[in-house]
Amino acid sequence: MQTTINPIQAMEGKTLTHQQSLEVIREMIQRSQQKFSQHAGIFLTWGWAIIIAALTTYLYFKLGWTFNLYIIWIVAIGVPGLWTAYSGFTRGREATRHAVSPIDTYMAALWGGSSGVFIILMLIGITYSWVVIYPLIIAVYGWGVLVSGVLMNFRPLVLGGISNFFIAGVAVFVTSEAILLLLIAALVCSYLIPGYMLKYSDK
Amino acid sequence: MKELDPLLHNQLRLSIMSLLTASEQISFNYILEQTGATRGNVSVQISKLEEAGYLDVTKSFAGKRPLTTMKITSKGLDAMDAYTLALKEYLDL
Repeated sequence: MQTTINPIQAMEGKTLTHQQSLEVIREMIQRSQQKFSQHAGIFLTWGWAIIIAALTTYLYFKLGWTFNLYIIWIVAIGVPGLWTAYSGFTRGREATRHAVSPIDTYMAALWGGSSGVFIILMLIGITYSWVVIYPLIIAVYGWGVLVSGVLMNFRPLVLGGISNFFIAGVAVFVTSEAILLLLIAALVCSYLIPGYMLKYSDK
Repeated sequence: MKELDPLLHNQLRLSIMSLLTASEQISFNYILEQTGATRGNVSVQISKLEEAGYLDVTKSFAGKRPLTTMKITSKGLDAMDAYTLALKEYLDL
C-alpha cells in the first residue's frame, strides 16, 4: 500500500496507522538520498586531466619533443585541484544550508586523505624515481575508487577500483614508457567508464 | 507487543526524525521543504523532540541570514531503532 504524505495532515500533526508510519519513514529517507550522479564530475575531470597529461608525456618521450614537461603536469593537477577545492567548498556551504549527507563527509575524508598520499608520492617521484611510484599511484587511484564505489553502492566503481590493483601489479614489471600506457588504461577503467556510468545513473 | 513511542507516533515528528536519521545534519528550511508543514508547526514539533533529547539544535548565521540546523542524538537514534522494530512486529514483517 502506497501512502503519500499529506501536507495538511502533517500540519495538523495527526497520528498514524502502523502502515502509514512505515511509509512516512520510507518516503522521508528516500527524499534524503542524494543523487550520486553529482559525484561524476570529479571522476571525469581528474580522469581526463591525467589521461591527457600521461598521453602527452608518452608522446614527449616517443617523439622526442623538447619542452618543459612539468608545465603539463602542473596544469593537469593544478586546474582540477583548484576546481575540486572550489566545488567542494561551495557544495559544503550549500549542504550546510540544507542537508549534510554522511556520504559527502566520508568522500571528502577519503579523497582529502588520498590527496595527501599523492603529494608524498609525487615528492618521492621528483626526488628519486617516477618509475617506482607509478604502480603505487595506480593502486591509490584504485583504492579511492573502490571505497567510493562501496560508499555509493555503485558496482562499476568497485570493479574499476579492483581493476587498478591488477594494472598496478603489471606496472611493477614493465618499462617506464609502457607504465604511462598502463596509467591511461587504469584511468579509463576506474575513472572514465564508471564516471560516465555514474553521470547517467540517475536519468 | 512493544508499545510505540507516542512522541514518534505522529506524522510530522516521525518525518523530522526520519530525515535526521538519513543525514548528518539538516536545516530548518530543509524540513519545511520536505514535509510541506508550516513554520510554526515544525518549530513546535522540533521543540518537543529537543526536550525529549532526540535531537540537538544549533542556531548560527549563513552570511547575514540566521541558520537553524539540527542533528539526531544517540538517544534519538535508539528511539528510532526501537520504533521501527516495534512497527515491524506489529506489521509482522
